[in-house]
Amino acid sequence: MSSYRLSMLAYPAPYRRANGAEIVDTANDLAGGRWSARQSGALLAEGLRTRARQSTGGSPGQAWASGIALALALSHVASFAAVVMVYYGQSDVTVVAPSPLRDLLIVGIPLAALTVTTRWPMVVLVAAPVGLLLYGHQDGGSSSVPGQLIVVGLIPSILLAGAAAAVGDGRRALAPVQALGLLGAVVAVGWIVSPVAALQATGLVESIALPVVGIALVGIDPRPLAAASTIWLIRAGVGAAVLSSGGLDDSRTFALQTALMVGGALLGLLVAGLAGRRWLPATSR
Amino acid sequence: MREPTLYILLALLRGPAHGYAVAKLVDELSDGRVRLTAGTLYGALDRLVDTDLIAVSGEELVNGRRRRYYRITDQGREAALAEVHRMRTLIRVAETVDPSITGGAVAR
Repeated sequence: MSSYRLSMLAYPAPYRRANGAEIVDTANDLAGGRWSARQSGALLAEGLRTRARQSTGGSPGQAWASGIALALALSHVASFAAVVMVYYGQSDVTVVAPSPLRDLLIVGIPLAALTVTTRWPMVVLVAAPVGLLLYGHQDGGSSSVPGQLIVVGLIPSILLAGAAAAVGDGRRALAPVQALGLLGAVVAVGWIVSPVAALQATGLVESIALPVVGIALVGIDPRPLAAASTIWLIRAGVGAAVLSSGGLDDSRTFALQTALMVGGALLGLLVAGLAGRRWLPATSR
Repeated sequence: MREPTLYILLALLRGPAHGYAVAKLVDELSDGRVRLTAGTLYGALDRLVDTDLIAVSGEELVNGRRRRYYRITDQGREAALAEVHRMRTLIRVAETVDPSITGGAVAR
């Protein structure tokens, strides 16, 4: 495997065992025996695509549903960490209240846009203003929301659009590596525009972890749609129950929702893992 | 159909070949314009096998290295033909709009 060992890790293990040696040999031959960043990047991107394809029977839609649901669950964990930080005085930034509707829109808008076009810059153009508006109008008006929070708020939209475009089989599909590069640039701009905020660190971790983990997890889950809908049902149920009772404060509601979402995601993965895992390398069938 | 995919089918129309040979032939046929990486090459081959446009025709071991050979199927031949036909139609339409567009290199 030599110098392409790291990129080859992007492929699912059974596929790598069956085809890895031949693919690496060819990569070496095509690059004239030298290590090539182009070959390496392509192996990384194709490995992630293979994961998505393997887990979903080739349907980009299902890969998305799963990846987005899991990304949302993870995003919730990160936001919850921020709430806890504020609660215990570790951060002086006001955290906007969690909102299932907001999350739904932030994910739904890029998704809807992607059904129209796979050119992801277009998707970002649509998603970014929506994300900005949604975050900007929390707490009754944009004036009370710190600037860095708005920047952080944009990140999930851009990321989900980029990650989805990378996983989907769109003709202008963006390689995950490029998506991460762009993300880095967006975050860097955020730092320059409004530096120094504890929440920004959370946003940074969240924004990098989201697409990477989301895409990787898509490869583990052979029945993504089931897992995704389970999570959404749980989320909607809890949201409705809490809204109607009005008894819990923000951080407790948040904790409960987070626990249930992550539990639902894990349960979905577990069920899917037990039911699935009968995959053969396509070329050895 | 994406351009690299069509080139892979065209390369295999010449006869069965292993992955590396396909990549070299595509490079040659396209005058170096389509340069496949190992990642995109095997990804495309997998998808073509999945959709029965090509098939694995055999395997050989050279210096301890395994190489799988691929051949085009009848379905693959038809798909390539349909794609070429589509392009030819496109060129004809372009010529009716602006006859000078192909510079006299007419496709029929």
